[in-house]
Amino acid sequence: MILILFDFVLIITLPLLGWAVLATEDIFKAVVLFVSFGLLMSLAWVRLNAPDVALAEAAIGAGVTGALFLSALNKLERSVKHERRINRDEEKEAINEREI
Amino acid sequence: MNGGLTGMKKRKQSMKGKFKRKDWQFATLTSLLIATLVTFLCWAILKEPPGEDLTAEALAPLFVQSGVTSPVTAILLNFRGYDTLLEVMVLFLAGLGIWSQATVDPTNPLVFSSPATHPTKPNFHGPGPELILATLVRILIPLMVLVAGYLTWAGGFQAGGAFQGGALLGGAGILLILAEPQRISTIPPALIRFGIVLGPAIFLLVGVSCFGYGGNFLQYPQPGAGSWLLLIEFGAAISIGITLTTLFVGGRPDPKRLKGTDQP
Repeated sequence: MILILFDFVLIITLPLLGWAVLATEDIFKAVVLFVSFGLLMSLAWVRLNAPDVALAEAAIGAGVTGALFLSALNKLERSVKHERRINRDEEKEAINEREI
Repeated sequence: MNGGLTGMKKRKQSMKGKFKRKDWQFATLTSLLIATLVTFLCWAILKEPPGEDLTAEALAPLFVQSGVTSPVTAILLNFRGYDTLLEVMVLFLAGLGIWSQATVDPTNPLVFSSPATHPTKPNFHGPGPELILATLVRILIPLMVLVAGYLTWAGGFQAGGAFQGGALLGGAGILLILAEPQRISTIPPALIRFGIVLGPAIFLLVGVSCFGYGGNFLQYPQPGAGSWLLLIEFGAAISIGITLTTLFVGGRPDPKRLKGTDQP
């Protein structure tokens, strides 16, 4: 019974998290949401009796990919707090226009 | 040149404006397409009767032949070895691409080594690793390497395998670089290259040497297939771990800086 409840929580949470990852404007927030999505996804794999995939998902999908995204974000110098991707792009476009 | 650029810019802007006006049409079209896809997928799943002839019990005799008792590893490395070889190659090529695209300062690998964009940017932790992180890493890294080895070995009879072990190894490498970024300058680049090539090379060599035993490509000799699989798995795990760490670093150590800064 409690496992079925757990499944329902997973079924509801995973699409919501996926939507949040795609919809959020703050890339840092999106990366954090992506990592939590990966962790919940690995729980879903465990519930589907696929421990191998769950291990790979937790290690690669959540851990390494999250670290890769954060490292890329750091190298793009966009990891400043409260900075929005859209604002940043518009700012850059404005600078480009002024240069031209 | 300038005029052309401005013209392109203007065209881009007008396209952008158009796109904004037609946003809702785009959204409707996309959601319609996705809805169609989901409907067809649901229909396909409901139409297909559950397969009864491909259960684990029915395939158990085959798994005994494969040399390992874990069905997942048997399929991944023996029955579908070619697919896994290609997967390993994809990761290898990704690592190769990143390795050849960019260089990083080996004394400070968390930022790109181009001096124009980052003149004096320090790494996350200032001059050295923080005490707690350094202590944690000292305890955790050997444990992680041990568990990665166990996971790779355990792939033969339960959940685990090369990818899982390699991912854990990669996590250990990333943790090490986060805690002690200067550490990478003490690793000779030739060793990293060797580690990246090791897994794909072993996989290919084993696959080719199967010809010598009278089999086809990747058709392992029947008694003792398990040890071949274990060899492939350990090689692949090491390479996957090192490749993932290289992906995180995001480039090869800059040789010029490596010579100049032997003692950080």
